Amino acid sequence: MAGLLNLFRKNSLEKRLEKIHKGDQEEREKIIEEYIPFIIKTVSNKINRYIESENSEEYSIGMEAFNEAIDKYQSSRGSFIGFAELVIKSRITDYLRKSMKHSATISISQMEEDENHGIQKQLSMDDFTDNFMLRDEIEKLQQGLDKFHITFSDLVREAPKHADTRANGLRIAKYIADSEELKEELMRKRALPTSKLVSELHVTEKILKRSRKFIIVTVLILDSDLALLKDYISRTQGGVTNGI
Amino acid sequence: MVYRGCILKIEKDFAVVVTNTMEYFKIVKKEGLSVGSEIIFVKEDLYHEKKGYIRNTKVMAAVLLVMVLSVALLGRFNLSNYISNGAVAIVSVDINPSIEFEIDGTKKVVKVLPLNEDGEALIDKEMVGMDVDQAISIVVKNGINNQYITIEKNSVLISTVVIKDEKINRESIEKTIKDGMTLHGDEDSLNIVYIGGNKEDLKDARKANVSIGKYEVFKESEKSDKKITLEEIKGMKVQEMVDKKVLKIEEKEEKKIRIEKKKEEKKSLKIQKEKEISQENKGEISQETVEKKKEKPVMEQEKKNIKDDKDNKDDNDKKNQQKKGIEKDHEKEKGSKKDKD
Repeated sequence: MAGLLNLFRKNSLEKRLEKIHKGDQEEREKIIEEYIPFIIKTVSNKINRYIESENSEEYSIGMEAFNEAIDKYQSSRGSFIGFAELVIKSRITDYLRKSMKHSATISISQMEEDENHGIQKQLSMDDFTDNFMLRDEIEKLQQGLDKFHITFSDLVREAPKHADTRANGLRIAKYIADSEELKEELMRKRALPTSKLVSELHVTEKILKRSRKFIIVTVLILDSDLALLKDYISRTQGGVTNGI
Repeated sequence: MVYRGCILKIEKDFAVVVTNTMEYFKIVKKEGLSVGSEIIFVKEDLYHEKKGYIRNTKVMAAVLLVMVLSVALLGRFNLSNYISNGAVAIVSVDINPSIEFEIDGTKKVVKVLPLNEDGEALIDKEMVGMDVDQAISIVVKNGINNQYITIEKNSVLISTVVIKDEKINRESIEKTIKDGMTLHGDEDSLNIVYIGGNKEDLKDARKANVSIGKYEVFKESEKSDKKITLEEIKGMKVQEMVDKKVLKIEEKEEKKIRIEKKKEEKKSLKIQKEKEISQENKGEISQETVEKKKEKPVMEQEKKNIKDDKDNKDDNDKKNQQKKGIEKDHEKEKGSKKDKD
């Protein structure tokens, strides 16, 4: 059954590529969109780093390479995926070689050279400071969590998997963070003010128990200077005050 | 599915991120990660701990250590690592050199083991298959030839340990050895000390790399006031042990030894003198005279022998009442016939 399905998929992919060769732009965009995770994975594994944003050089190069692969692909060249991977990898390699010569990201061996030293300082200082401050904030967050005996690994294990449960948790956290009284009680008791929450928010104790760690960490984030994370929260369903 | 997230923590093999949907994940560690930086990643980057894989390298190291140790220790506690399969008893001989014989039920040697360098000089692989008393007499001969045994240093420690007591007993082994000594006997005035040992001590002796005989002496000395370390005994010649009284001998016996020794010395001096005289007066002294002179000491000798025998009998009775199993024995002089040779 699976074999047949694969065959089916392959054929449709071939057909789509044919369409694109014939000039179907819409199809081209569709395929690129679908394969973004694949492009990101290939680039990231090649350079053994995580891509920082869609604006990064590596990302653009990856996309261009994939596009190139679409144009150049012929069934005689084996599977499309395999071919695309090759093209992406080689374009990235080219880019890396080029960037070694001119770029601001200097390898450690080059750092020892005096002339580069100045450039490196100048270009990365801002990033460095931002990063440093963020690190500091996260360090504070961890310390706050330590007082509740919660670790980041705990969160990986215990944070709610379902979007709805998360949303609910965020909502509760926001409510606590907005109330001085509840916040104070949380910090003092080192535990959720369950009874108040149950009565005021009409949530069950069970929910509070299950999402306990998640809620606490969210309150701590909201109470911190971690702008990026606070942004995450507000963009996530349930994190907005006027939300659900 | 493309995730966007912020790095919260970096560990050895993974990093913890929180996504823009407030999900917390562990992702595979790659280069260039720093806490607080934002990244995009995909499903394939999620970190999975391998099943059954011990993440804690300290635990792994401990487990490995236990495994190695148990294999190593297993050998030690198993006595069969120390002795051959066919061995029924072990007889160790110490002078200064130490050697060990493993014997079978018929008191034949199945294995010869030198316990120190000097011991190697006294043994021969030909000894395997010989009767133990025969082998021991060869050891003694070699000992004399190599000057490990001299008139003054004539103490030999023979220790017997029975391993399979259903097949043999210590007394019979010792008797065989004693008889053998008398029979093969060119051992003059050897001071032989017999000592018994038990199986359990064998392990300890092996571990300490010392003969069972010396080990038993050590054990005995522990009981007395003499505080001697095993190391000291290891290096001691049996003669030293006798002289230092580490090896307990009844006083009567001791006196006897001294007397015997003095007699020995006197005799050997006499004989030496005679030899010198005879050399000086080469042609002048007839054979008769020489023989006469030699006969004299022999006759005196024999008288003494008879006397000693009597004394010995009494002593033997007393000996049997002694504790542990330490015996002393004298070897009588076998006529000066040997001296001629």
